[in-house]
Amino acid sequence: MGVVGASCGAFAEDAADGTDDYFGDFPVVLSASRLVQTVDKAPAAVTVIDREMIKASGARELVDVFRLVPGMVVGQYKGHQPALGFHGFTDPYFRQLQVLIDGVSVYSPVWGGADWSQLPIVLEDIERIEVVRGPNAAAFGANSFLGVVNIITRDPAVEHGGEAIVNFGENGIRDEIVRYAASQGDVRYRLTAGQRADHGLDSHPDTRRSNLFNMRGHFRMSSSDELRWQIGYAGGDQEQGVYSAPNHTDGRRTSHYDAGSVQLRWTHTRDADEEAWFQFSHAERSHREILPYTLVFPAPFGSWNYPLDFSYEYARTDIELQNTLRLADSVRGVWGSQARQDRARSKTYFASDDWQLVELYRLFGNLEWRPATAWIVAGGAMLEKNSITGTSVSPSLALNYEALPGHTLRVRAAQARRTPTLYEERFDWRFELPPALRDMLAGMGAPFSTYATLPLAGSIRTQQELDDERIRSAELSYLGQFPEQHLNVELHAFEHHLTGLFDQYRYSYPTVLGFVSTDPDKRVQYSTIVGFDNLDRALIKGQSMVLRWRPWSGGLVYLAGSSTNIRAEGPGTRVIESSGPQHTATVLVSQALPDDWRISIGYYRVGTMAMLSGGDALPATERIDVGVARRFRLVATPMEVALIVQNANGGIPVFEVQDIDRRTAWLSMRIEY
Amino acid sequence: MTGTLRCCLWGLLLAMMSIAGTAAAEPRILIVREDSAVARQAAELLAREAAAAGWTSLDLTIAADRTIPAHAEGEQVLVALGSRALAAALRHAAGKPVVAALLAQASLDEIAPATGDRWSAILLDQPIERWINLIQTAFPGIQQVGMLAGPASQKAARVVERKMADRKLTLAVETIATAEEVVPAIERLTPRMGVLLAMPDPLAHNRNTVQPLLLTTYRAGIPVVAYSESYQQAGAVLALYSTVPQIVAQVVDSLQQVREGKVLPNHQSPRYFTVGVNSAVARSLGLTLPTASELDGRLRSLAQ
Repeated sequence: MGVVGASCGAFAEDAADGTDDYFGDFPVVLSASRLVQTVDKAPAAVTVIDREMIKASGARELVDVFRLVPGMVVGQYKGHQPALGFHGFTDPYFRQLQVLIDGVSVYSPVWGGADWSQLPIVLEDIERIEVVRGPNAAAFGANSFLGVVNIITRDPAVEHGGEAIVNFGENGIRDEIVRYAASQGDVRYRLTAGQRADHGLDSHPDTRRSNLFNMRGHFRMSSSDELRWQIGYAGGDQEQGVYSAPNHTDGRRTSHYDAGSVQLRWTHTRDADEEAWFQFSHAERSHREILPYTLVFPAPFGSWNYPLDFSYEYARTDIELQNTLRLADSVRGVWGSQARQDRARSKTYFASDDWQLVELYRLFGNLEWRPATAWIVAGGAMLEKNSITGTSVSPSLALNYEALPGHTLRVRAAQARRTPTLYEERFDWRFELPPALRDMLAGMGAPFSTYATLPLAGSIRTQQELDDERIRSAELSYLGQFPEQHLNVELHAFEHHLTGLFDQYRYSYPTVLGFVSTDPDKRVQYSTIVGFDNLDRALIKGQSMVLRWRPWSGGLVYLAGSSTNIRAEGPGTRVIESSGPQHTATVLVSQALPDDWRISIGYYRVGTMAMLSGGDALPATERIDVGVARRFRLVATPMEVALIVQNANGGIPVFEVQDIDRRTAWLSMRIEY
Repeated sequence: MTGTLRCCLWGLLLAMMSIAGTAAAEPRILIVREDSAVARQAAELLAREAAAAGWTSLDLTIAADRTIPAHAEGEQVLVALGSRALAAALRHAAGKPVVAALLAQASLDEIAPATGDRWSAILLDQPIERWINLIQTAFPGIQQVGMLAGPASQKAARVVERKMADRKLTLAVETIATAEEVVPAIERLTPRMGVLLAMPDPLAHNRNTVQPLLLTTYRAGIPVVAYSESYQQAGAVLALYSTVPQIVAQVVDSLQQVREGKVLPNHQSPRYFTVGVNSAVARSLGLTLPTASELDGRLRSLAQ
């Protein structure tokens, strides 16, 4: 009954008899983090913008696709600086939204929000964008206040070969982009490089020319381990200021920026349900902007060269880890932690040569429990400690109930905080005096340090410690799928209670430039400075509806509408209450036609509103974008040509009434090679 | 003198009979295998299972020159694990029955043993009818199936296409030779398929191609039905495969049939199989699938 094993002459493990096919070991591809949660199972209201919608919208700038999110408003402050709003708070520096690219926050520590026209990615790099409508700190971290924009780029595995894209049209539109993806054994990567330019709005000097480059690569270390790296660079010139007579304090000038980032993530996948990753990222940005200015004093003090320096730089270093695990048959959990350091420096904005440091530590956990087939309970919390406002906890809880197959009700409650940005908390906005002028004033007995204030509208200097802005939110949603009709419907209602909202107050600050007055009584002058404080509260109630319908083959109809009501208290009441439109409506229709033609039309209606920090009260606007495209082959090379006309129905005012986003047409050509 | 001779002859006869009797009472199998982890696992399991059924076994790994090393003769049946082992066993068999396992149809075709020899190969390839049953049970509305194949699988693909046509399914096939071609091939197949059937093909399905394949089909919302548990773990929604214990059980069945003097066919389809469901991916694609045991039971109740 014995077994004798005799091993004479070993063979390589991969036998050529087909057993390796059947018993070989494949890496887990569709792991927990890769799987897209269907929106009806998600614990929050999510709008997913996929590649088809991006293409159909005819968007050239990333922010243009956000018009598809119900309740979101996209405007412009300058050609290269958009204004965004979401349930109010429309502003060129809209900072109530967390913005991530592939899990790395690009939220600016200085201004908040994202430098939307200076990101190192192009629309063709994007796989999809998930917009979470509502606070979700437990999942996405600090400053996920009114919502989260999570931009997910394409895995190089789904791309191959190269493509070149050229946009050419009115308003100086010149974009040239080249992309290439390849894989070699265990390594796959994608490169994107490009140059973009346009003339912006007619009413402002806001021409811009930018270069960008990004690379995303993966190295499969083993069946269960993968290393992902991403490198990005964006840099360029942007005109700033206004058209004006010479020697204006907001005169025409050109700014130059350089921004680079690198990111490394090591992922270990135990099985389809369990995965852990560790990530390191570092980003740096420098912004150079100097306006030559001459300070003219009454005789005999003459005129002085007084360059106004709007430059700043910042850097961010961040390490994070996250672990997804299955705790029981019906329970899945995610937990993670993060440590981040932001530092910023600007002689003008911080009145200092020192780096302003902000540290942040975060610990979070989320659990998803499915007690029965139709029920999902999802809860989570984030514990955050930052060096501006200290420690806070942001919890959230959601309940999904699939009342009938394909019809889900969701109830959700969440709290979140928004930490003051360096702009709100630490700005001490003064322009450094040229040494000679300083010496002259010192000779006259003026008491001051190195800096002196030049009273410009909007000089910021907050005098006290700020608390976080806080939000408590409750929402109710219905999601329905009607597969026979190829229709998805979402109805959503929410209530946000906001407290501690920052608002600007004004106070007097002595300016030493009074010393140039010949009248000794006028030697000390005061100018009005602005500071931030937690002054306002608001109650925002809103409802929205989204419909996605594919009525026939090749057709797509997307409808989104929202209604928002803002009631505020505090000195900013009037401004906050009109900072968003009461109603918005979006219609996007796309249809594939015979012979590889495609046509799409977008209609966007935005009610009256005025931006939070300036501009005119804007009337209700209607915008129509049209695109016509055709795919074909030119000697076996696949090509696509599209003609896009934005604002086809005439221009609309975007910040002040004379800032018209006018009808613009361009041709977009894409070649695969 | 005659009496002593008769005594010796009887004694000799008795001795011979006892030897023969021992051989008859303890049937032996010779397990011939390659030195891979799978073959090793199968051999150990087979030895245990065969012992329970009354066989003793000798486990030999074939030599570098593909011959069977010297061993004590006396086995009744050879069991070959792997196609190279089968080739070696056939050369050595000298008329004894050979049961082969752990090999695929393609590798069997390469060896091309003469039919009629006393050999029977239990193939790893699931019968096409069983694939069709699985697809039609799990995805009742689907009529179009897609497949990715290497250049060598063209003939096999035609066979699948014909069998599917008999059951009112259409098969669209794209041929690829390198991992770079996966994405465009899947994109071409997407409008012509509701599910992708992955059948073993080293060029079409390997560590380098599964990533683009699963990501691209997932993005297009197309479920993948595959041939191994590892593929299911990687992201295929359904898998149909036979595990090593299941193959070994069929080998033991075959040994029993040999002992009973039955004639075995040259090709045997796997009798015992497992159905696996990747419920996370199925949920994410919005699919409501029967459970693995429901599918399993249904396939068993159907002919195959």
